[in-house]
Amino acid sequence: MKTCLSLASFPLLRPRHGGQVRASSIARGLTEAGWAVTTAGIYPDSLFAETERGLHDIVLTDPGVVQAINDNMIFGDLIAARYAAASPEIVANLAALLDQVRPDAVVVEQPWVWLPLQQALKFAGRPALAIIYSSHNIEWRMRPELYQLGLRRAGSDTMVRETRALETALSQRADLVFSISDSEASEIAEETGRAVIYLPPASTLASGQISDEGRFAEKAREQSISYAALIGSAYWPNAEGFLDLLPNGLGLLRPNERIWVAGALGAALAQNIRYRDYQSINDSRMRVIGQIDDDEKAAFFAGADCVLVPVLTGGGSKLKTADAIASGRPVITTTHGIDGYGPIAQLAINKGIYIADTPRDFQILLLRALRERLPGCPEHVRAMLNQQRLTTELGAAMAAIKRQDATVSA
Amino acid sequence: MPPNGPALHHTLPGAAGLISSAEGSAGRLLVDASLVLHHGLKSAVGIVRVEHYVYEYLAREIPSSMALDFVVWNHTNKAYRAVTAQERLTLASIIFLTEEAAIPGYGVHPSAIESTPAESEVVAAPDTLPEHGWPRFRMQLRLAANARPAERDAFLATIAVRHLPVLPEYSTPRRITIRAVRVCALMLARAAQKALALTARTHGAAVRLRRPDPEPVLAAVAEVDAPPPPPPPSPFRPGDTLISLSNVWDYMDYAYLASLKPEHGVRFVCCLFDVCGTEIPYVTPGPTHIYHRHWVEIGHLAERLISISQFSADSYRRFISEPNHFDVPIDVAGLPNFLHARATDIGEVAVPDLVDQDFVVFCSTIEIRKNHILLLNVWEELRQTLPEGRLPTLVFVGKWGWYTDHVRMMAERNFRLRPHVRILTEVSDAELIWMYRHASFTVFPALSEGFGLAAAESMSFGTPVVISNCPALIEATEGLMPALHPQDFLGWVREITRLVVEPDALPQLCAKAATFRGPNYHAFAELFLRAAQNMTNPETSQVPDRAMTTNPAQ
Repeated sequence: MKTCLSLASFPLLRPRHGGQVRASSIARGLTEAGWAVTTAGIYPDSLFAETERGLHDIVLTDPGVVQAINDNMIFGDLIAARYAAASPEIVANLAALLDQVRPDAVVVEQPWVWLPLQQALKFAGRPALAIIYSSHNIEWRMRPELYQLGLRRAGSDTMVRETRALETALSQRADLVFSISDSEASEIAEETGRAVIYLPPASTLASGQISDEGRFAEKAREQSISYAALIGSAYWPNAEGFLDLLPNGLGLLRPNERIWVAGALGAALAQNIRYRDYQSINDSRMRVIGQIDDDEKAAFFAGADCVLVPVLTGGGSKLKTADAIASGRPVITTTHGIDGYGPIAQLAINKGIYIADTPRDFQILLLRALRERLPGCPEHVRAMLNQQRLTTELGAAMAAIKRQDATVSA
Repeated sequence: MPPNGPALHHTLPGAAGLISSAEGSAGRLLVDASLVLHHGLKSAVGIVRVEHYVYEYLAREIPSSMALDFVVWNHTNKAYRAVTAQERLTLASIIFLTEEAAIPGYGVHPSAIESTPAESEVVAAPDTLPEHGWPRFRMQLRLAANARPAERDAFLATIAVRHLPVLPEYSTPRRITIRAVRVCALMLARAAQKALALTARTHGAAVRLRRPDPEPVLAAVAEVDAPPPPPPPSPFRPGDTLISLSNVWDYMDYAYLASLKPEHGVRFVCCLFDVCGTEIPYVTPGPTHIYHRHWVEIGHLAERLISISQFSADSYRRFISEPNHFDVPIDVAGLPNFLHARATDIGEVAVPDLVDQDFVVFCSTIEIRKNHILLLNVWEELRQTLPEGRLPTLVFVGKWGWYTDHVRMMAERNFRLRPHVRILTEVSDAELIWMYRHASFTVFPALSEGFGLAAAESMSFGTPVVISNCPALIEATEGLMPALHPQDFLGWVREITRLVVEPDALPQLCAKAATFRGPNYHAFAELFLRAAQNMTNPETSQVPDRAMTTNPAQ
């Protein structure tokens, strides 16, 4: 059995944010494709609790680097990776891990950990292993968008250039490059002159039956209301997208219509001054659900008349789009929301996926979904996002590397 | 008097005339009287005057096929309840008897109104006054015996101005005689009422007629551990029309309001005064989002809105209905000039401080939106630039409202300006009429306005008004008066200077003011009745089904 090390800048024991979920999904796909997968993360101890840490994780404890990351949040990954690459102790630990696992391939989740991995490979006993780059975003491009949060620092532009150089170098060096987005796959291919495989995300909701049972649907029926479902983290583009697309508050909803918000986004919205400008009507029309377990996500979407993905900016893996499409409910989103889902979304535009890029159009779609019961995504579109498909495509891609290795060996 | 003015000397109808029986009627109008019961006719804002006028019209003009009744918000149950017999009588007295009624301490704020008082303990009166004979006389005696001194005096004062008016055209001896008669009658009535009260208590009648305690704090404390009272029965039945002229945002449970149509078959018609708070979000006394929600909810729930001006209707569409993708029918009629219409009844009373003085009046609640600060700055400039003795006194008529610190500071600390400014917070209608008639001119520099009743009232007395260029004020003054931007300090200085200094300026403006016609007196109130009639009779209804007209795609 081939062995693989999945290396990331975060732990994978309990996947929560999009990057973790994506990396975890790929690790699972590899396992299902017959690979023995070991996961490891390199990250500062301030970002993840001990209960989230995996057995092989390498945790940065130097207060200096933690402080540097806190002072320059948007480049925290790059700062941590640079620190790790410059630390003989961490490089040695990583080299030891490589010797211990003896992987045939290393999957580099996001570009950052390539910096310490390069150093470790100099000391490890398996310099010929395959490098797989799993791109979640074009990282250098999304960083300047975060400047508007007041996060620009002296040297930020230099770090953007370094990030771009890192992504390019890794793309060129890697034996295989995956991208979560079709458009970014094309872009990376164009920039680096090499083939990039589009590997869309998988959603656990894609293979389940759509049922309007469950506590959310029951609650909605009990209150005689219909609701639009929204799941999101407190990541600022989520809140800003919502408020940009519903800038006049939620007064467009009738008294028996609601938006139910799960995840940390609800609390983030309620604290936003633009939400508070219309607080009374917003509080009456929006319900903050809070965090819900993965196994409740399906019920949360199933009870809804539509799923909202109101994003206008920001990178990220946009797994919420995958979940929304996979839910089978009509998805109200933006061009940005389906960016990266080209081949999938094209099959369902206006047949399950409804696109609006202006507040007025978005609001009208929302009202139509609540009042006219728009159709949701068809089954064959949902199926394109299930884990089985990801496993198959991943297995085939990895097998191609194997044949290439065999050719080289021969 | 404006065209179609009211017949004011109508027969006092009393409670029986106010509330017609609902049995067998084609439809009922149920009016939210929570704020009128709370404020009487004394409020920091003028809305209760509008309520009074509309209720009076409805009570008088409602056809025999319909019935009028009142409901009150019950805070405990977060629902409307029927008015008690006692409250109904009080409403009758407010609306028909004591148009000047100040009933201090009577009302209970809607947010504090508890569940229906136990009828056996509090109200022994029947639902309506008996129509004729001894029972009616006995009931009236009981009510009179039970009146508080302030109520009694207010009642008597109203009767006096109605039946013994002191009008400017009367000769001096006649006016002195009438005033003397008034004083004697007042003394006799007070003595009679005391005797009546004593007799009634002796027989226990007044105790049974005691009205609800306006501050039932001790009772509430004693009942903390008691089980909650059962909710009073809903006052509504299918086909009813609920009318609200109040700003109900302080107490309304909008989920309850939304349930009235599906659960009780009640249609809702609501008055729209203004949406200034959402147009200029810093001018409302509380957070603007509270008022915004009210405006949104009434748009979703009302069959029709009745707006006091075209500007308010347009603003509502611009700031509320269009951004929220709904379309509610809005009928428009300007507010009538209540004061002018009743001027003969009310008479006029001079304000001693202003007699034989040149003065300029701004009648409005003192609050940030009304822009009093501009006038104080203009007057300070004029004080320094006009020749000695030419500066008219600036008179603010109105109660103190909100966000007034700057105005207070300017008015109080500027001792050089102080002799040229009067702030009158307790002015009777008779005094206001005198001021309108004797002012050089009036001013109304509001940042925004729903209608600007005081500007129209000023013109109804032939007194010109300099207004801000808010469209509602231009509408209210029929485009006849100079309109300046509310922040155009130099423009206001020039205009006031012109009117004070140039000999022909003011007479020319007065001539224009004399052409003012004013809205039809009944038009605004009539819209409520017409809306209810249309909804009650679907065959003649012009009111489309709201659910069918709200198409977000349109």
